[in-house]
Amino acid sequence: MNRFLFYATTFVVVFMSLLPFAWFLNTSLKTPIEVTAIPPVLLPSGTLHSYRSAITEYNLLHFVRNSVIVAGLTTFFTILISVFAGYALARLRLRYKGLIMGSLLLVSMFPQISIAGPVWRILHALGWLNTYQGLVLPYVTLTLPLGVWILAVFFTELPDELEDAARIDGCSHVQTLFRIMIPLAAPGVFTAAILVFIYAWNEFFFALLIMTQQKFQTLPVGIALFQGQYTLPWGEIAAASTVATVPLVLLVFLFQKRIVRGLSAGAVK
Amino acid sequence: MAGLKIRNLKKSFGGNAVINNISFDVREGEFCILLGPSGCGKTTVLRLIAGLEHQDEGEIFIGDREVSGLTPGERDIAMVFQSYALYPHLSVYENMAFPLKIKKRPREETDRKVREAAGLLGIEELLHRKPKELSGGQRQRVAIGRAIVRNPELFLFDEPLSNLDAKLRGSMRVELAKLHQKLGATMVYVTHDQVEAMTLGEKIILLDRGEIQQTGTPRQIYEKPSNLFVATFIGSPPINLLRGRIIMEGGRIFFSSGELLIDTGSREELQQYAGREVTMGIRPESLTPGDGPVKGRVELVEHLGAETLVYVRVDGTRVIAKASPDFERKPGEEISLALSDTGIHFFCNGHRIGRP
Repeated sequence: MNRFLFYATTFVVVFMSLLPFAWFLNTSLKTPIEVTAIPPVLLPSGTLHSYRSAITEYNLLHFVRNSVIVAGLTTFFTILISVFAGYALARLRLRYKGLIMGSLLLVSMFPQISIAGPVWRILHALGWLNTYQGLVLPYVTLTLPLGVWILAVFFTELPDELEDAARIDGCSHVQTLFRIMIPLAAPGVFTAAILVFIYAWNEFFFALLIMTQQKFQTLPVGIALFQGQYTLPWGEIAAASTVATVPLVLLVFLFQKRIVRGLSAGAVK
Repeated sequence: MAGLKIRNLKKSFGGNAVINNISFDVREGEFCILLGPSGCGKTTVLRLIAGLEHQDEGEIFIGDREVSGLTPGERDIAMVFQSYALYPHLSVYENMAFPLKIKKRPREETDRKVREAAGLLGIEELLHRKPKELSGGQRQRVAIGRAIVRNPELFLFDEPLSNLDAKLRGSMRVELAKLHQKLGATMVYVTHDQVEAMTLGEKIILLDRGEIQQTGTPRQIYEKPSNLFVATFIGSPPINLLRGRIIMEGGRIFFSSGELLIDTGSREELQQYAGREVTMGIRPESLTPGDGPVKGRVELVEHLGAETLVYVRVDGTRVIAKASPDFERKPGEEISLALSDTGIHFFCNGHRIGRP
């Protein structure tokens, strides 16, 4: 009975989260006629027309490129800073360590809308609106707490004696960090990197606010603007959404084991 | 290789003095043991020598070099940790080569030294394994190997055998002693295990509460404990302690404790303590069943094979005597115990009476 309940609940949850994905995957493979057919067609004819059209008519690959640049740079800088900050917070005898960790958490809880105005003004003053760095900067700021927390937890759990051994073997602090600590914290680094990448890849609000020129717009914004005043290209939107989702799914599947280890670190000794 | 000189070392953590003015010397090539109960500061002394902590006051010389201002890497020391501290992501070979790699030594030299050390420790077949695939004893060898390849001035060991099971510990102890003979290196070895200390050490420094209680060879420490702490810490089963006073009668000196009256023979050093409270310490092997001054009732008899321990209640105090393997007595029976000439110590206010 318990087993049945477990599987039933799991099925319902999985079904509900996968349904939209399945629906737009399905829609992306339909012909323009099938998309708007009533009653809806359940089995698409399997044409790639929407993909071709999204690429040629709606510049899909251009948005993919922008997203890869923005999400990639965000991940790189966030992880770079998080590694140093996390290591310092985990290992150095700092005063007010709890306060620092607490305020990091606090910062990450601000609703985006509350900082949108100031961020826009700052970027405007810097002349960074409609530039890659203009979007990367707030993304890095917003994802840093997550990265620092994950990595600080990881570094804390590595035994102190390893670090002592490295220092006796002649390593400087930086050498210890890069040769011993980071390789051992790899699951944490991967987890943080993927979560940050997903955030930057999916983020819509700041992207819409800061990138007003098509030249710099990322995928979520790009897809949203497929819609014209009189047209609603469902097939192309579905195709673009599929293209936006598949890399993330692949990424997570590829590193699944490491992410699970990363997210459950510290749960069980 | 070099000797070690420690002068007036002091260290406190958050207002608690952990090391309180410690000075000692270790000769070149000497195997020196820092022994003491947990929390006595022995590991802190080792970490100060290594440079992993910094002393508040005092100097540390390795050879003729004052090393206080140097990083651990610059001090030319190697350390073996209790948890082995092998780098889990590196193979055995890479672990042992790591210190030389950091020093940017030529690859041929590194390779030769790693293989030499592996040969010395009998771990050549393990070189390509990862630490997690090794047993505890093998990991310990790798950790020692990583220390050997550097050919350091000074080896530091922090309770290296305490994570091994009893049998392995025994054989590793013998190997460590052999290794020390082969390398002739200066070694400082921290342990709380008196058996390790007695068997390995050429010199034992016994610490308690951040202070040196006694320094000497294992025999000196066992045979002439300088105070009550040393007497009770060393020896298993522990030394028997009787409280009483010194009485002079007819030119002879007696120790009196309750109904007990023991003729101490001609111990002149006790004369000036006549009438004062003292503690008498008797090693179990100096107390044997036979015609003697100590009388009591048998509480328990333990047959250990090679010898027998007899627990005797004497005047409200329990003492332990050693008997031959064929000794048979039932609990409750009366017994008298004889004292031998050696293994008997007197203490006044915790300090040894007589020459150190």
